[in-house]
Amino acid sequence: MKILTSPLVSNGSFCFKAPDSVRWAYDAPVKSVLLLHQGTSRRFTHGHSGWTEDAGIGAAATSVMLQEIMLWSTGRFTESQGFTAELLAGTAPRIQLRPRDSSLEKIISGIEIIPAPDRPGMIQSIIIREGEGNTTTLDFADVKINVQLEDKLFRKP
Amino acid sequence: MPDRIKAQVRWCCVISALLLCACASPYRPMPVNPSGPEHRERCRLLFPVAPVRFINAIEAQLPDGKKMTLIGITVIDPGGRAVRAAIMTIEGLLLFDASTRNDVITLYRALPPFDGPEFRRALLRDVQFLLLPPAGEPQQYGILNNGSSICRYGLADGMAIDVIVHPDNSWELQEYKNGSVATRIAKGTAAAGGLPGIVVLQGLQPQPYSLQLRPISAEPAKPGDAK
Repeated sequence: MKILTSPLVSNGSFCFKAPDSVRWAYDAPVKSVLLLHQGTSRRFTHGHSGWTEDAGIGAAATSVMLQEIMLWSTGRFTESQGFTAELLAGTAPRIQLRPRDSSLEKIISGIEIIPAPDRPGMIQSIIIREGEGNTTTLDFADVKINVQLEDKLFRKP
Repeated sequence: MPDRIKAQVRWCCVISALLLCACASPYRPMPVNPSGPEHRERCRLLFPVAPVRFINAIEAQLPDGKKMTLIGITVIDPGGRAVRAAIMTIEGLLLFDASTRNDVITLYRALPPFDGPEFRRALLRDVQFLLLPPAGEPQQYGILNNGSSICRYGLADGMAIDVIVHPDNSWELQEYKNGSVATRIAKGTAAAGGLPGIVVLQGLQPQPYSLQLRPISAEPAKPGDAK
């Protein structure tokens, strides 16, 4: 982002439970939880008065991303309503997503999904390009698969 | 009017954010007891004197009681009286990015509902209110009965701003028009640990709203960063 001299780094956790539950949580610098569960997305942030539900600005756009990430997490790249997918093979293979229509392109110009080289079927990074040199990169570390995730994880904190 | 449009209009009216009180109350500026130039200096030092970049968590409460939290990035160049401000979601999606210098606004990105001209003017005006000293020299400066330093700046169109620095280094900015109607009030706690304090901004006129800014980082910037 041009207004920044160095990336603003947030840390948190990302949980996916088949078929359609996602929890995208940050611990710092702003404590927040974005949930997608049983077809409904909600965002909560932790402020001076505890956990409160966000009104939705930005959350709607982020929820679209959440839906997409859920598809990518299960390898269903071609099922996306918003993006076309192309596999770029090579020494550093990646999946390149492009928005299907111009209205979405104004928000997100493209996405790259980089598979984990040492973990077949897993995602190492997602690079979201917003145009004008603005990018958001999600790096996944300490990935655990087939662990028990309780339903309460995907409800209001 | 479709509900979606109604919602966008409502958001635009909220502009920078939230409702704290239903209407503006009459405002009485505090009398200034004239005193030494050290009080004028305390007012001046409340504002950054060199380019700086702030990152804040912004907590806003909407007119219907709902809340939202965003991340704000601001770069100011006090010498050039230039400001660049960006707003993004907690997950990193950039919603708004614009700068202003000499009252000329340059828009880099604005997603609905932050894409209206009134929103960008109001947001940049709020940033200038909080981070740049009022233009010119104070018409009056001195001390309040409670020992706080105060500087009163007269602006165009009947507007005025009081800069108040309390003995514990917490502070207030009070903007009013025609000598009695408060338009904006900001209160901040004293800076600590290299970071500014927590700031609460209430806009009272023409639309009431309020924002709480919690600092995440503050670092020196270059003058060109505010372009």
